[in-house]
Amino acid sequence: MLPAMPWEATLLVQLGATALAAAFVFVLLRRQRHSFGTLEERATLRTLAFATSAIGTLRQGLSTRSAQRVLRAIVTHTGVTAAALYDPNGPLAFQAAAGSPADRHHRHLAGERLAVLAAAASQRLQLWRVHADVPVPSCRLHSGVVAPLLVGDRVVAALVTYHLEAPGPSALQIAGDLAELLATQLRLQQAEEQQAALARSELRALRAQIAPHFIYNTLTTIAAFVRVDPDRARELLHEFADFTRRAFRDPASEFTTLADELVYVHQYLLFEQARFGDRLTVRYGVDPEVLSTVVPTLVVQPLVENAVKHGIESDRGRGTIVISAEDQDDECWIEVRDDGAGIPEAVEPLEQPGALGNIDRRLRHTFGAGHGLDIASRPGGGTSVRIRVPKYRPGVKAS
Amino acid sequence: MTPSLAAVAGLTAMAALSLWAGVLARRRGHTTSDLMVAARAVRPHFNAAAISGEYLSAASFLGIAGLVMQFGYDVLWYPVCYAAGYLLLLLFIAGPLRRFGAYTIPDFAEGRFDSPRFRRLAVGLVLVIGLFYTLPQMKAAGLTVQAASGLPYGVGIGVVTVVVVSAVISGGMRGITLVQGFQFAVKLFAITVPIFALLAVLGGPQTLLREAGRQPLPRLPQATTFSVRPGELWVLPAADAVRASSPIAARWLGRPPTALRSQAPSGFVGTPTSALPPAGSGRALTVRGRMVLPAGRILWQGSGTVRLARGAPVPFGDATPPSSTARWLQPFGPLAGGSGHPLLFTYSLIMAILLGTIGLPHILVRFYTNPDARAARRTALLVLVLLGGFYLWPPLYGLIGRLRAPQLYTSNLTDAVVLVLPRQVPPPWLGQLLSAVIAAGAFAAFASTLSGLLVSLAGALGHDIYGRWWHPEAGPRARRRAFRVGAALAALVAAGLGLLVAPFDISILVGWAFAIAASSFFPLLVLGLWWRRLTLPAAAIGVAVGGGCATGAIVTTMVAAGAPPLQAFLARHSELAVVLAQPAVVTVPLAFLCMVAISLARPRPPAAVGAKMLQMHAPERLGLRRDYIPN
Repeated sequence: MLPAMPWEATLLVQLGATALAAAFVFVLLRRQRHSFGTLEERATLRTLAFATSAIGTLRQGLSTRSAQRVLRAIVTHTGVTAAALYDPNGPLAFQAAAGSPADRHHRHLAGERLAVLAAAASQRLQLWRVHADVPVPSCRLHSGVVAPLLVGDRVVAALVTYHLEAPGPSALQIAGDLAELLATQLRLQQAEEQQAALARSELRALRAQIAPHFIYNTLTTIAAFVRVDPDRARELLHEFADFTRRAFRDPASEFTTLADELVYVHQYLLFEQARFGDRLTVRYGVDPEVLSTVVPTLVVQPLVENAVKHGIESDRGRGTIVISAEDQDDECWIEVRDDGAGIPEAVEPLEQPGALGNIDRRLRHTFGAGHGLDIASRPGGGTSVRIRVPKYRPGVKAS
Repeated sequence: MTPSLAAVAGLTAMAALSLWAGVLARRRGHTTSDLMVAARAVRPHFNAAAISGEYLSAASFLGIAGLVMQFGYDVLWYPVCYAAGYLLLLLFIAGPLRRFGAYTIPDFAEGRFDSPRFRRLAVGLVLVIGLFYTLPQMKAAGLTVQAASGLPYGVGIGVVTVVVVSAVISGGMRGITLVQGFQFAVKLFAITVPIFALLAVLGGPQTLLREAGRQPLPRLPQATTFSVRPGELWVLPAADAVRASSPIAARWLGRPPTALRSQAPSGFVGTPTSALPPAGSGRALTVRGRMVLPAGRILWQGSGTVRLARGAPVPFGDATPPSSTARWLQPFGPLAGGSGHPLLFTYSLIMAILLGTIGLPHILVRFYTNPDARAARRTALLVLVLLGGFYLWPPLYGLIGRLRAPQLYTSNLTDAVVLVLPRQVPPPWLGQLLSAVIAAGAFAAFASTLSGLLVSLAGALGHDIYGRWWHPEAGPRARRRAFRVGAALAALVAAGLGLLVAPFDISILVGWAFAIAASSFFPLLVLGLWWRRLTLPAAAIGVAVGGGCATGAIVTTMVAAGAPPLQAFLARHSELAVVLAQPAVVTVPLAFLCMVAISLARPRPPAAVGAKMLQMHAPERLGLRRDYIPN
């Protein structure tokens, strides 16, 4: 029978045993990782690793830095002696494999610039003899493969792989495929840029839409007040100056706080109320808790403008607009309601030209497919447009 | 305890008033208004009152006084740290978190590390912490209704659950700033007015302390009749002359081995100090007529009434370790000292409560309402002031309770001391009025915190678990339905568990919720906001290890209260017992260690961390955030 051990000793022994077992499992796992798979499987894995490491890099665009990183990946993973990337102005980066004789070739890059650019302009894979015109005895590079990177039908860059002897068909194939992979990344990057630019231009278009008829109407209204009520006219003019400054400022700011958006709406309604007098009633129901919520710029004002147009201008010539923002846990619900004519059933409001479709697209783009405009309307019974804005979404911030 | 019609009226009135205020506040906006909308932004002092209103739970209103009455000086760490937690919030969290713009802690976890999977972990912890915090509110609800109306504990929990859940579901008792601020005013009023009346009648704190110092043991202020039931345990610190109405069988179990010097080790978590001894042990005893009960433990085996004279030493129930007043008035008294490791216990308690405030899910969401970081910091400062003003008073109730209502020691109802004392203010009508006021305050305390917690829990269940993972395509209607179902579900689970936690003190239960928050969300927020090299795996592992260890330790302690073998094991290893009952001193550093070590071992900071740090720390007026309207 074993002598009774004090519990501290038991604990110590147990700890020691656990540590040993952990170390054993660790060693096993490491060995397994190193002896993983057959030769082909490992080759495949290497290729995939290269593809994923190259993919992220060029998504940020073509620069000396990103080119350097891509070339390093190419040289380590594909076994070419050296590689270079050119953009239409000349060499961006050059990378030779460690310890290869091509290391000093980067000094000759300027000399071959014209030859490479001419080869790339052909938009096809080109084999080309290094130092063909002026032989450089110290350079042991034999030839290069120039693979143009095409985005659309434009050559945006060229990949050059260097070889110590004349490259075989598989080397040509590799260079062509690499160029295709890199070009795909550049295309994706360009598509993303275009999408962002589209969103910005839509915003700009919205701002521009406000301008013509609204400026005309407001100035006419103010003109009407000049004789009857000069003080009010002066006040309105000041407000109008402030409003225009805000409306045409910085088209790049995509988001703002709900408080700012509502101030803008309030100012806008000031002119409309001056214009319509007591025919237009406006009511606000805003929970103060959601005033700091970040919303896409110009999502509420166009809805209000729409409500004014349909609530008043259309037929009865008298109407009420209710603007409400409710605190709904992790979302803020904004609603603009009018008691006007409503939307005829045959009309699909989001497909009409104008602000609604634009707002709907921007909301979906920012917050996801479930967050588009929610429009409820009965002919003769008014229209209500509702937006659900999450209180927080990564990447959405007032800027 | 005798029911009080006035207290019931106070409860009902407060319930009706809260609902009415909620409905009123919902409708207030819909008026014609030319006011500039931005002028309606929530001002820091309103927001601070709302945060204080939501924060002052039953643990602050009832629990602290009850715990002070039981354990004395050591308990003062609770009110001190409940308030001081906001100092850390002010210094480290409020500003950067507001600039970051996150609404909930899961939002921050997801946004800082760009990981929806990390969000799931955070949501899970929100549920755990929220549930732990809901339990003591349930206990307070049961206790308050019991003290006011004499209905059983379970009925009280049921009634309050139904009222609060229907209010949350109908939207009448949601986190509306004005309503919550109003609740704070009610609580401050309800705790101060009765204490001023009591102090005016009994003399100031100095007089009371001197009076307490004169009695080595709490003595009955007037002749009192106790009714005893079979199975009830009395601990008599000294021999007591009693008069029994009829012969009652009992057993005398001898003096507790450590009576009056140190207590049985489990006393310090507020669980029963002594498991029932095996049947048949001790000396049989029949209490009849006038007789003197010997000092020691008496286990009643029959029922009847026993009358003790004025000035007799109070028999203690099994929840409170009897302690001399000298020990009660000293640091490392029965609470910390009862553990056998007073310093370790005290540090652990301080860490849990000080750091846990920052990780409470229903408090941080309120800072979102602030328009900018400046307002957020100002709010935190004002909260500190408001809470400081509140926490002066509950400990005084505990002191007066020891002198004027010591019969609560016998019935194990020290948590009700705040509710009972105001009735003693003469004349009777004033006493009734004050007890109505205090019942209303108690209702405000557990109802506002309970509703805030239910909204947090229902949000996690309905919006995150249902709306994001089960049915991401769900429309607003389905999400609202899920929110309501989530609220009802959370309340049901909490009410069910609330029935089980009756033996634990309210403040001890709340302390556990704080300990879990301190071990998980506090390190995440501090390092996430201030250390750019924190990586996603490190944060996730740190949160899981810290939160998991703290929860495990606490659950072990709770289970031990009902499992004698485990209890006996813990009694032998008292360091382990302390660390399990108050885990923060181990789990908080452990979580920090995990995060720092793993981040340094595998440095892979998340993408765009520089931009995020800039967003969190650059003052708004530097103009790095270009505002829509330049001023």
